[in-house]
Amino acid sequence: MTLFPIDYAIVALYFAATIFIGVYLTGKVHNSEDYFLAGRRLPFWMIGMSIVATDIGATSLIGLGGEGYRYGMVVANWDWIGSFMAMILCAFIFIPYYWRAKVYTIPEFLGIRYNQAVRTLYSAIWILILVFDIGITFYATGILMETLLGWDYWVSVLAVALVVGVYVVGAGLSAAIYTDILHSSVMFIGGFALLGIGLWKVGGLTELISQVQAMGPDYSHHFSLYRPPDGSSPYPWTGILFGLGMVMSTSYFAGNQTLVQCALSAKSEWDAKATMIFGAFLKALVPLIVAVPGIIALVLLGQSVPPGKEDQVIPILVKELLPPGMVGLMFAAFLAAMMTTIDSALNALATLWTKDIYQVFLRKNADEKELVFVGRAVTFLVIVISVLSSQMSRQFEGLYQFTQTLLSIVAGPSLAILVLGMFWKRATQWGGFWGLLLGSLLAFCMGLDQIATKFFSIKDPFLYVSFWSFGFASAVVVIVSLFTKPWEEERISSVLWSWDRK
Amino acid sequence: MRAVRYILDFEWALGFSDASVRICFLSVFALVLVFALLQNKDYVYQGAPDRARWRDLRLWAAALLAIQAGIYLYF
Repeated sequence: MTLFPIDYAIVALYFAATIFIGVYLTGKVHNSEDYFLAGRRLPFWMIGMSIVATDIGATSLIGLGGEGYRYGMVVANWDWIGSFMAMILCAFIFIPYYWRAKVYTIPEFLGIRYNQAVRTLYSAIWILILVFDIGITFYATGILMETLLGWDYWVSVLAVALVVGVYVVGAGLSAAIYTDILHSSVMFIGGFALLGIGLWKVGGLTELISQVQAMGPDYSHHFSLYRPPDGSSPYPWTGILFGLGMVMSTSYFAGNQTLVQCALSAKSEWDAKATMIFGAFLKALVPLIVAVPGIIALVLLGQSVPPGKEDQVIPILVKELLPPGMVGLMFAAFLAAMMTTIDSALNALATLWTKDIYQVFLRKNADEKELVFVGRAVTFLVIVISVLSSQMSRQFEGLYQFTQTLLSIVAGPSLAILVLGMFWKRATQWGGFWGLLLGSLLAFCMGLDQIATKFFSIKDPFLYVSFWSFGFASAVVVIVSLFTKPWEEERISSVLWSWDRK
Repeated sequence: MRAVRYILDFEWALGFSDASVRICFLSVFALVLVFALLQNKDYVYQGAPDRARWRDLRLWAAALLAIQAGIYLYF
């Protein structure tokens, strides 16, 4: 694919704007709260946009488009039932309690509710997930540019690393959030342009539906959100409702440091709550710019895209439909999707390391200047390591799947200890620890091919695994708690749910 | 082993009709709506600069769930 000079100009302008924001905000960082939590002064709408931008990421914009091409509207479940309920529950349950506790990290909150062991284990798990996630995203960036534009892999990776590095190392979370507003705007403008032109090309929505349904019985469910649990689809309604809707999504929005940290930067408790619900409204629009274009690609490209290469449909559609200038905007959107994933993950990782590991085990009396320095140093180091090791992803075909599987392994147990910790005052420190550890081990085992094929009919049963591991982890928390001594209620009353809470 | 798979793989849900599945989804949405509406007013407005009606997050949640119910009824 060839970009015209105007496209390059748009991408260059976009990079320049991003760097400018980062450099400008660097001067506003005076302490660790400024660096890690943007000074706790942001309004709900900014954070809501940032959360949505961070969540969309590269996998949604391109990957879900490919899934939409292959499976239809069922993939929209990830943004609909996979967001709305969880974000509402987080707004009224988890976020206010995190915000009131004035914590920097979720492990820190769990340390208050349970003990240091739970805090350290949770932090270590998330540091591991984020390290993999960042490396894979750099790899995905390089491959995407190499495949579509013929750009040298290292040029693409280093360009993105440099831009992200300047603003995240310098200004931390505030830069991540401010640039995410730019990123999300570009993604939505580009996405809606693609949607509008695509729908016009196929003759409108009604024509799109009838053309897809005319493709034969294999496509008769392309506009249904419900697929049967008979192994014919990787997204059966049972997995969507129980696994995604109840467990994975709530765990994701309540237990993901990357997203929760954004909410903690809110200027008030009300803003922190509103962030989640406002973000959910924006999430309602996401399937329109990811899943529907995938279905449009099915009509316009036919079934010409070979199996396993469906990720290419959105870039192909961009090339076929959009004029010069708009192509540049869409490529800026692809790069934005990469950068939103990387910037928030970097900031979250730096915060977890600095507050949960460095300040707890290495330098308890570190002052604000030192904490900011450590945060910046860790961010820089992780960028370097991730860039240098990104090529390793080539050798491990399933590394991306590994990261997603890792996420699904901890989703159920994480939610179990969060929910029981908040709603059941009898849950003890060691109940939480063993619930998290044994629940994660069970989820890991259930996900292994040798075991998964014995119990599940779908190839990647992570939706089911997260649900059942939640149940198992909850049982472990209950059983161990009943045999161990809880904290005194006064000690944990501030982190226990109450209907009378004001 | 067969019995375990029957439970873990949700094979017991194979016989659910399309209408039953939609009822399951909508019921869950309704539960979340009830939970949101039952929130204490002082708690909802905690930290807000005023008590303007548009700041009532229970209304936001209700609107969101109404949209969701509409989507899951349509598709």
